[in-house]
Amino acid sequence: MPSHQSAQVNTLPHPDGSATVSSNGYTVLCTVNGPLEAQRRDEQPLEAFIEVHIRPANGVGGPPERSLESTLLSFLHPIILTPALPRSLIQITLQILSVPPTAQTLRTGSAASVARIALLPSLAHAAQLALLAARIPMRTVACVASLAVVEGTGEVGVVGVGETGGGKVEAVHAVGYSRQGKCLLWEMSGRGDGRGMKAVEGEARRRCLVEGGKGEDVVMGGVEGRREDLMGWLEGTIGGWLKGQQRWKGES
Amino acid sequence: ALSLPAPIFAALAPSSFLLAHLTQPQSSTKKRKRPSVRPNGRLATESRVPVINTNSLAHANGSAVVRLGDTAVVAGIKGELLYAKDIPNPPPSSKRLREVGGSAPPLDEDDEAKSLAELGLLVPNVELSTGSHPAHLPGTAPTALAQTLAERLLETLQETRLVSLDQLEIWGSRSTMARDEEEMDVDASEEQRDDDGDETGKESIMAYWAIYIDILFISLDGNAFDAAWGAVMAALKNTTLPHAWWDEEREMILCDADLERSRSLTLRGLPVSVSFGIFDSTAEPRMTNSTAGADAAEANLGSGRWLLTDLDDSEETACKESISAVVDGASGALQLRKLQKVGGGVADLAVMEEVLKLAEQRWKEWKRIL
Repeated sequence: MPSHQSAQVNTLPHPDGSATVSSNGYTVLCTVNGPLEAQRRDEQPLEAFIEVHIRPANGVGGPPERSLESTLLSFLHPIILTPALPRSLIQITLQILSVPPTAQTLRTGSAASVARIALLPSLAHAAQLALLAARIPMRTVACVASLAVVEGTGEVGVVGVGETGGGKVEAVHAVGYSRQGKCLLWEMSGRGDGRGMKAVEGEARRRCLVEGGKGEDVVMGGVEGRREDLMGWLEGTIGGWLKGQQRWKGES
Repeated sequence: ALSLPAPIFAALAPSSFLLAHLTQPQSSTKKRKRPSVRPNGRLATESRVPVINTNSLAHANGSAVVRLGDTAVVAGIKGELLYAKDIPNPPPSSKRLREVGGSAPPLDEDDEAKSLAELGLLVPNVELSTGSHPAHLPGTAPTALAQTLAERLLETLQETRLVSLDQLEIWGSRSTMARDEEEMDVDASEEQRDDDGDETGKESIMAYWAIYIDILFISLDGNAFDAAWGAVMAALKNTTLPHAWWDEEREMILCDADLERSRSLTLRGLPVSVSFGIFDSTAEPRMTNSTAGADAAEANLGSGRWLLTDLDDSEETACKESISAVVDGASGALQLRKLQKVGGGVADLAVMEEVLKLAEQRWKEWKRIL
């Protein structure tokens, strides 16, 4: 699973926090600045004001980016401990660096909604890593898995968005879980029903959190001692960066 | 004691105001618990009844006014011609041929959706800056909310495959003279000559109808997307396109003024958008509720959490978590076509199942009036 993901923290020198994340063939660079002084009309007396900007890989942003921004903002709002920084501004800017060449090959109704769902994990992970690097207080950390429901015989087949292998896709989902196992995001597009949702929920939980994945699916080729769920990967990434930050302590 | 009039309380602390209403003390004389009532007088899962007026605009191909309480939306549909020769990189589907007067070769469902999106034949636009809401000042650029709504409408139109491509195609055969002229202009390759050989006696797509969907909010009191989607559905259902044909001599599309010969759009299925909000009074530590006690009305999600349907404006500011579903029950069992849940972690799988159940009821309600 996380084998095709990669992340780097603090890739840029000047912003308060930054991160580059690649998954599903998308690469996203996120910078976070904050807490800054908010404009008077944006200032909120009891909590921080969050601004999210998304810039596409080419051209200037349009309605699709505005729509993604509003989704990402609602996703991040309960994660960031906004009451800790009242009257301030947290500015989150995401630049999409590269998109997969086969972005439109999934066979489902709307190529736009598939692209959107395939992009959401990179955006969510990059934003959170950059927020952590900027030392913005946060309630929790959440990871997002993008899944595809493949048309099968009876059984509901749920695979990663990049693992459909040319099969007919019934629906695509992006599901996000916090460390505490709370579902913070669920976007779906396609055809589905209650039964399909149950299968997607189980698979998403398994991919996001280690509790769901225990005992089954021993990952081949994984580095020993490294958890192979998304949360483990996210924690490992930020842990590795923190270790690098604190190296000077040991050298004294 | 300091007391505030209700409207000022509602404006200062919308969350506390909503909580105070939802947990109204019960009358001790009655044994049965009274359900929670929202400030607008509705029960927790009671929605506003949609009211639809269709074809009220004289110059549009189709139009509808939809009201959900104090949210009022006008949708106007205008068909415009897009000539095939003006399309820079036409998709493969626009190079199909058919016998004169015959039926067109059928398209794969996925190719159709792809062509429709690539050609951009459905163009929704949302206008909020009409004085509909204090947050959207008239005369300003489209706000992020307006752009988000337009994008969601477009995605939903594409995902549900509501309008089939073949209704938007206008076929015709080019005159031999025009074809000869073109051949003289273009350095005809062998392949092209082969194509032309096939073309004699056959028709190709000369133009498309591009459907412009303009949505104007007259008044916005929450639940913008449900109202906008309802207006799109009602307007598309009542859209008629004039009979159009390719005139070989003039080399242009002509439209018949005769209304008898115009045809109405047929839509696939009946998708309906249903939105919910979750009010979590426990997420805000500042909020204390003196009336909460053994006698208070119970929360429908337990421990100070409510699932509310069809939020109005003040409830939207108080509810951080939102669930929005597009469902279609036209083919028997209820199908979920689109889902968006963000803003909090209260809703789990059990809540989602409840959401689907409520969405089915709401779908039937919309079906009756659409």
